Amino acid sequence: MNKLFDKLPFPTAKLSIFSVLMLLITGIIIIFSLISGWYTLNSLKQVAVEEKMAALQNLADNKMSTLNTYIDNHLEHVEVLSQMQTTQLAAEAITHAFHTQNKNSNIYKYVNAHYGRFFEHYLSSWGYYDLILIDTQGTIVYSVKHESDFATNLVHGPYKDTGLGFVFKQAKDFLQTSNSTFSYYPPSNEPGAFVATPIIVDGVLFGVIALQFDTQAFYDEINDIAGIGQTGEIVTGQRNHHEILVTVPLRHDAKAAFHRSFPLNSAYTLPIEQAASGHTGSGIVTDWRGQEVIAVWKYIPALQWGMVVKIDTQEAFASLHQVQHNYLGWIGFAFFIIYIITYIFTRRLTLPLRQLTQVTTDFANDPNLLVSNTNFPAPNTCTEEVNTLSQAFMDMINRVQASQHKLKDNVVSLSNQNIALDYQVTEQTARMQAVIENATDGIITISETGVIQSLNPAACTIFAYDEKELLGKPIQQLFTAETLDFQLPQQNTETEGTRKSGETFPLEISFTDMYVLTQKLLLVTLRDITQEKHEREQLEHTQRLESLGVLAGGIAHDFNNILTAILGNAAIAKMRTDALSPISPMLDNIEKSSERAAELCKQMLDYSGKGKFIIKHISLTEMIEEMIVLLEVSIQKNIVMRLDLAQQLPYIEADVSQIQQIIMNLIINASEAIDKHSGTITVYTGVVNVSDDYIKTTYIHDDIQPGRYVTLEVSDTGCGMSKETKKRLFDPFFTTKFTGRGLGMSAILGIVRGHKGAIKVYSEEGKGSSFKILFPYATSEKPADTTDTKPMLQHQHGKVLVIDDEENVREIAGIMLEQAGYTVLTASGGIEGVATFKAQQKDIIAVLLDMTMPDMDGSTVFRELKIIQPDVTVILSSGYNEQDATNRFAGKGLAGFLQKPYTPDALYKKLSDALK
Amino acid sequence: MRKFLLLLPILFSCALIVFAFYPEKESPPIKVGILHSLTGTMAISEKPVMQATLLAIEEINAQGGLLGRQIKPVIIDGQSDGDTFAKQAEYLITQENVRVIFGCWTSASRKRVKPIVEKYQHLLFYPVQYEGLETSPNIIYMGATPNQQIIPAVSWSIQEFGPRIYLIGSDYVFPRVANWLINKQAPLLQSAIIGEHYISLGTTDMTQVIADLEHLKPDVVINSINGDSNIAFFSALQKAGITANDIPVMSLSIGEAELSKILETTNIQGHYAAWNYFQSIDTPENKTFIQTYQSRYAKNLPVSDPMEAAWNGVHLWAQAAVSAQTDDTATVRQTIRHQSFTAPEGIISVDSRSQHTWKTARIGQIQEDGQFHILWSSAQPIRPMPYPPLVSKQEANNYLNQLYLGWNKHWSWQPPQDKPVVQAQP
Repeated sequence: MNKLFDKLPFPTAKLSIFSVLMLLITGIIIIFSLISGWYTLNSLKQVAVEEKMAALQNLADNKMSTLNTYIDNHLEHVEVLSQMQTTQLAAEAITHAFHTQNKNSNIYKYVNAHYGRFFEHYLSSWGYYDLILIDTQGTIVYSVKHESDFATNLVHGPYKDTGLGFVFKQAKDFLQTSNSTFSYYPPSNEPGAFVATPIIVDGVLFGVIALQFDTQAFYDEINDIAGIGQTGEIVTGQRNHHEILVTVPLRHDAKAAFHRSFPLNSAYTLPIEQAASGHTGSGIVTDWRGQEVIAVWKYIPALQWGMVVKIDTQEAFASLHQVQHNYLGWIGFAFFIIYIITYIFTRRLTLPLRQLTQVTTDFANDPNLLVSNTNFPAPNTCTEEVNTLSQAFMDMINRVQASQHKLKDNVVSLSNQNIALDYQVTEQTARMQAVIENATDGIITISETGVIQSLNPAACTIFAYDEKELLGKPIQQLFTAETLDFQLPQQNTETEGTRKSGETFPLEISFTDMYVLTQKLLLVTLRDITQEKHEREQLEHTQRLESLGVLAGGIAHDFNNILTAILGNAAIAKMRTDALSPISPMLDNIEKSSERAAELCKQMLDYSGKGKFIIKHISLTEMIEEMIVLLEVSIQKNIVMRLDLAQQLPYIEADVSQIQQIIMNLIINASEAIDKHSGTITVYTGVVNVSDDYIKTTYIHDDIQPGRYVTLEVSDTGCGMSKETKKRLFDPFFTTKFTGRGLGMSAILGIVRGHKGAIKVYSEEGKGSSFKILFPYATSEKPADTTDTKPMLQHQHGKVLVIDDEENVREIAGIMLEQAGYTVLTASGGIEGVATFKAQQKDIIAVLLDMTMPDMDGSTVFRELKIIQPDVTVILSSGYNEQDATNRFAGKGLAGFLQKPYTPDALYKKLSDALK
Repeated sequence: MRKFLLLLPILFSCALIVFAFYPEKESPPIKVGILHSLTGTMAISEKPVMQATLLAIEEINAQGGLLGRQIKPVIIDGQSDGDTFAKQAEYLITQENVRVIFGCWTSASRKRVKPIVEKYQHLLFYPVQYEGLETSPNIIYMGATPNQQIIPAVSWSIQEFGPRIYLIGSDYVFPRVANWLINKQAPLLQSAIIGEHYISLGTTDMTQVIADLEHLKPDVVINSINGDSNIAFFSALQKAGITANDIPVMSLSIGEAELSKILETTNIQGHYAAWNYFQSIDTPENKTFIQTYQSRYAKNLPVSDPMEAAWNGVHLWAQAAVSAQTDDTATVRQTIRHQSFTAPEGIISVDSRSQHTWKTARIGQIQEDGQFHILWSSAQPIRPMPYPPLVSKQEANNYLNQLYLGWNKHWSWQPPQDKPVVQAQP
C-alpha cells in the first residue's frame, strides 16, 4: 500500500493516517459503488434485455400466430369456398362456358355475370384481391379481376412458375389445399400470394379454386407493430438463390418489399438470413442498417420466410439510461454524505493520534524531554486502541522522563568520577612519567626488531645522546657487543655500552617482554655501573688492606711479645754484664736488632692502624718547616723542592711521629720517582673544602664527612704511575723498588686512616704524581705542653701481679720488676690472675695485665679486679697500640698502658707513674 | 473470541458467495425419458431410433448441456407391447419426473401412450411417419402425415407409371388407413385401384399377390407391407420374374434399415420408396449427422427416416427449451409450436396448429448399394395435414373406429385363435 502511495504523485512524500484512511475508505466506497453499480446496471441490462427479448418473442409469436391464422383462414376460406355448392356449380358452369365460349360467347358472359356477383361479393367481404378458377387442365377460366393471367394455362402458360401455378399443382396433383408464398405476380404487377384447393364434386375433380391475397392488407397485418416501440421493426425475407429478399415494406425503408435484398455469405450473418435459413434465435445483433438491435428471429414455414422482430438497443435501454443517470446521481449524493461521515469519523478517530503525534514531536524536539500531561487532553475516541496507545504513550513518557532523570544523575556522577579518574590518571601518568624521566636507570623500549621506540632522559644521559638522535635507531649501536641478543629476556646482565663520543663503559642491562595493547615491545633497563664498579673495586681493595692490616697487626703483636722477651733479656743481660765484656757488644747488637725488629713491627702496626698513638695538636706547616732540613737531605741533589705552605693553618689532632713518617715517606717516594732526572717536588699545605663527590674519589672515605679539611699535598714531576701500579699502590709488600719492603705507602694509608683522614692520588704516567692527604680539624683546644722526663730507675717495693698468658713475657716482666725491687706474682691467665689477686689483694700494689688472653680477656679481668678492689692499680700491656687498647677501658680507672715490647725503663716509668 | 468476531464477516461473505453460486454449479440434470422397445419384435427397428435419440442428447450435453444443465436420459424398454408402453410412460412421468418423452414407433403404442401424456399434460415426441387422422396437444409428430408421404407418392406414381394401381399392405391400421386414403385419392387423379390385398404381419405366403399381379399387370404397386414380409414379397416378385421395369413397386415402409436386410437375399434394385429423409440427401447437415451417428455407433450403419426424425425431435425440444428459458414441460409445449430447425432433411418446422412437422416429401429409387437415389422432392416443405382434405374428420374417425372394432379392439388384425398381440410397424 505504501509503495503504491509512494508511486502516486501526491504533493507530500508521506501521507497522514487521516489522508490514508480517507483515501482508503472513499476509494473503497467509490470502487465498491462503481462495481456494484456496474454489476447492478449490467444485471438490469440483462433483465432489460431478457424482458425486451421476451416481449419481442411474444410479439414474434403473436405475429407468427397472426400470420398463421391469416394464412390458415385463407386456407379454410378457400376450402369452405370449394365445398360451397355455388362454387361447385359455378366452377362447372364457368369451366364449361369457358371451353364453349368460342362457339357461344354469350354463355360465358351469362355465367360470368351470374356467378361473378357471388364471387365479387365474397372477395369484398373476405378481403381478397382476386378469386381465380382453374380447370383441371390448368387453364384459368375465371378471374374476378380479369387480369392478364386470365385464360392462360398454368401448366405450360407464362405464369406456370408463379405462386398461382404452384398452388394449382399442389391442389391438382396432391389434392392439397395450400398457399404460395409472396412473389412478384406480373398480372397484378405487385407481390402476390395465393391459396388454392381442388374442387371435388362427387369424387370428381372439377378444377381448382384459388384466392389471391390482398397484399396491402397482408402488409398491414404484418406491419402492425404496435407495442414494438419507436424503432421497432419487423423484417421478413426469403432465401432466393444467393440473397435474402426482403418481402415486406420496412419501417425504415417503405419500399423495401421485393426491392431490397441482402447478399448471402457476407462476413456478418444478418438475423434475417438466420431466420430465412430455418433458424430460430434471439440476441443483441447488428441489423441491416448496421444498428445494434435486440432481435428475435423465426422461420415462417407457411411462407418459407424468415422473420425478425427487433428494436434498437438505444431505445430498449433508454429507461436503463435513465436508471443509470439516477444511479449516478444517487451515487454522487451518497458519496457526498458518506464522505462527510467518513471525514467526521476519521477525524474523530485520528484526532487523538494527531494529538499524540504532536505531543510526541514536542517531546522529541524538547531537549529536556519534558512534557506535561496538561498538554495532552485525555483521548476522546471510540476506539479502544487509540485510548490504550495514548495511555501507554503517557506511561512511556513518564518512564522515559524518570529514566532520563536517573540517566542525568548517572551522567553527573559519572562525569565526577571521570574527573576524579582523569585526575588520577593524569597524576598516575605524571608520576609514571616522572618516575621514568627521573629514574637513574636508563629505560628504553624497543620493537621486536630492536628499533628504539622511546627512551628516558637517564638513558640519554648514560649514552650522551639527544633523545631525537636515538629514536628509530637500532639499539645495537649503543653496545659494543656485536651480537646482543635482546630477544631473550635477561636480568642484570653486565655488558659494555658505547657513548656518543665512542667511550665505552660498563653497564648492567635487563630485557623484558612487554605488551602495549597487542604490540609486543621489549623493555630495556640499563644502568651505568662505571662508578659502582669503581667503588666496588675500591671496597674490595680496602677490605683487602684491612685484612692485611689485621694480619700485620697480629704478626706485629706476637712479634712484640717475642721482642719484649728478647729486648728485656738483652737489657737485663747488659745490665748484669760488664760493659767491657766481649758479650756486651753482642748484647748491644741484640738490643739494636730487636729495636729494628720493633721498628718494623711498629710500621706494621701503623699500617694496620694499631700503632702507638700519641695525639697532639699539631700544625702541618710548622711541622714541615721543622723537618725541612731533614727532608732536603733525604732528596737527591738534582731535585728542587718547592714549598707552598699555608700559614696559620688550623691544627690537627695527630701523632707527630706518624705524620713525620708520612711526610718522609712521600718525599722519599717522590724523589725516587724523579730518580736521576731533574724535577721538582712540591709540598703544599692548606685548607680545602671538599664535597661528597670529591670524597668519593679518595681512598679511605668511609667515615669522612664533607667539609673543610687541612690538606697536605706532595707532588712530583716524576715518572708517574701506571694504572696497575696505581691500583696496588697501597697494597702491603707491593713495591716497585728493588730494596723496598713494600710497607711505606701501606703505612701511610694506615696512619691516615688512624687519623680519620683521606688520601687522594693523581698520577699520570710519565708526567708525575700528586698525593693529597686530608686531615680533619682538631676538635679540642691545644693542651699545654707536658714535659717528658726520663724516668730514673729507683729501688721499689711492693708486690706486683703480672697476668700474662705468654710465659716469656711473664718471666722477663718478673725479672724486670724484681730488678727494680718489686715482689712479683705471676698468673698465666685471667682466672688465675683474679684468684691470685683475690688471695693477696692487700699486698698487691699494682697489676700488669695483658690485654688479650685465651681464658679471660683483659677487660673482664679488669672488671673482676675492680669488683674485688675498686681502687686497684692496673697497667694494661698490649702488643696493640694504646688507643685501641684503652678505648675499651675508657672511664674505668685504668692506671696506664704499656706498649709491648717495652724496655725496663718504660716499665719502671709507667709503674711509678701509676703508683704516684 | 475476538478473532472469531473478526472472522465472522469473512465467513458470512464466504457463505453468501457459496449460496449465490452453489445451485448453479450443482444444478441437477434435466431428465428426459426415452421410451422404445428394446426387446420384442420391434426392438430391431426401435433400437436405432433410441440410439439416434441418445446421440442428440449426447451432442447437446457435449456442448455444455441445456440451459447450463446436463440432460440425463432415462431409457425405458417398451417391450414391443402397448400396455407396457402405457405403463412405462406413466412411470416416466410420475416416478422419474422426466420433462419430455421421446419414443414409440407403432401407432398401437402411440395410441396407448397418447392418453397418458394427455392425462398428465406431458409431452411426447413421436418420430415415425404414420397414417394421420390424429392430433394431440401433448404429442409432437416428427414423422410424415399422409399428405407428406402417401399422397405425393401416389400422385407421383400415377404420373410416372400409369393409372392402374395395385395396393398391398399388412393388415393393420397404417396400411389400411393409407390405402383407404389412396382409394379416395386415386379416382380424382383419373386412376383406378385395380387390386387391393392385405396380408397378416409376418406372412411369407405371396402366391395370391403374385397371382394377382401376374393376372392384373398393374402399372404400379403401392406397397405398405411392414416387417419381414417385405422380404418374402420381393423374393416372390424376383422368383416370378417381375422386375421393377415390369411392375414398379412404391414402398411406403421400406427405409435404409429394412432395405439392407432385404438386399441380403433379394435384388430389389430399381423399385421405389417414399420418405421425407433419405440417407443419400446431399446437405452439409446430413453429412455431419451421418458421420456423427456412425462414428458414435458403428461404421456403415444405415440411417433411416425415423432415426433422423427422432434426432430432430430432441434438437427441436432443446431449442424450444432454450426459447422458453426453462425445461418446464408446459412452457416448452408453448414454445415448441414455433420452432424451426435446419435438419439433415432440410428446414423442418413445427406446425403451430397441428403440432406436426412441415416436411419435404421425397421419392427415391433403390440402388444396388442399399441407398436411395432421390428422383423427386416436393418444391418446399409440405404443410402437415393429419386429416387430409380428401376425407372429413368425422369420416376418418368413423373409419378408424370401424377398424378398431373389427380387429377386436386392437389396432391390427387379430388371428381367430386370439393369440397374444403381435405388434407391428405403423
